[in-house]
Amino acid sequence: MLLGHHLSLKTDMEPSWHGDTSGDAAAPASPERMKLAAVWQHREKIEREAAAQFRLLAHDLREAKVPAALVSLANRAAGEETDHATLCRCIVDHLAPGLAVLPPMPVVALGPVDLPLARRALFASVALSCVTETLSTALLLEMLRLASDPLVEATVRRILRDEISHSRLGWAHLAWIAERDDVSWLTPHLPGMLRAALVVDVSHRPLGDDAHHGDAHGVLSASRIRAIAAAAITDVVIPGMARYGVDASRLSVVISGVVPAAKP
Amino acid sequence: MELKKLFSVLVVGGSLLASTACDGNEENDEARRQANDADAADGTSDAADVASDAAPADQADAEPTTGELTLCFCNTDQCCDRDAVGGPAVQEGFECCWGTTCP
Repeated sequence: MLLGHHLSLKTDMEPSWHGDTSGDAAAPASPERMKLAAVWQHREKIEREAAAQFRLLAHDLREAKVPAALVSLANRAAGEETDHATLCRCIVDHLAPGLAVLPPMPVVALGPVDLPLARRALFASVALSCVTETLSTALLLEMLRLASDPLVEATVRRILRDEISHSRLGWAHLAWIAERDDVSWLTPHLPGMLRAALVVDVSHRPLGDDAHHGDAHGVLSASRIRAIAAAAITDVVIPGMARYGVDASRLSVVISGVVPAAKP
Repeated sequence: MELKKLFSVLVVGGSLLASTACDGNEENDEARRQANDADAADGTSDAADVASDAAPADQADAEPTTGELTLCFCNTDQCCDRDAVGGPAVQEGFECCWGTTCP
């Protein structure tokens, strides 16, 4: 999105959100705040990477002659993910001012290299939107329920609103293709998509599982993430895929392999 | 919000998007709209629940991408401004497709 839009977001978020960091600027953040900030620093990086992926998706959707409405959604998603990165940075600055910006990974086209363009676009839609953004939406709902820090709550609320649209993009694309072609070829690719989504979002767990104090700042414990992710897979992704003839029943076992169970 | 409701919001909501995306075949578009009416009612009502949690009530759901016209069936309220001077009009950034007009 335009620089002006970013400035507008900054204006919306200050001075009340940034005003209370003036005291933090004088003293280093506590170890706990540093750990929380590190999670949001990681999320900032993920959002920038997501923006690049949605830009690539928009390009492929246009080339594959998918309806313009879906291309527009992908373009809008790219802009919104960039906005989310800015919002994450605000929280990082709120918790631990001065924490560096992590460089995003270079964007790569998702899926097997030999996929035709139309299938590559659908692969990306399913991976980014049907799987990743669906999980993200479910987790954000839980984060919103538990967040008590005003800045975090406002940020989560805004991101959640956008993630719903980002997830719908994938389901819309899948629905549109399924009316015209067999999409069961996606079946063997789903476990890999889910593993990638969980590793990206769950791997950075500095607080471990004794992190109930992280809930207020939008950092869920590993056990809570596991439960929410499992429910999202069971209640949304598997039946959603089945609706279009894609067998996603194997996804239930993927969760346990990526998100470790809570330590007793 | 229960995750089972999330299925309606995301999956059914997504299928509604697909059914209203203009793809050049008016007959198929109409058939899809009729077939999705019941699903759409569930999807949009549940989406309203989520939206009320996720955003202030006075924010519009429809926000077209800057610089691009988004095709829209204008017989829905999503892309129409009912309070426009001179009567209902399509919102900026949207374009009515297949001869539909704002109610």
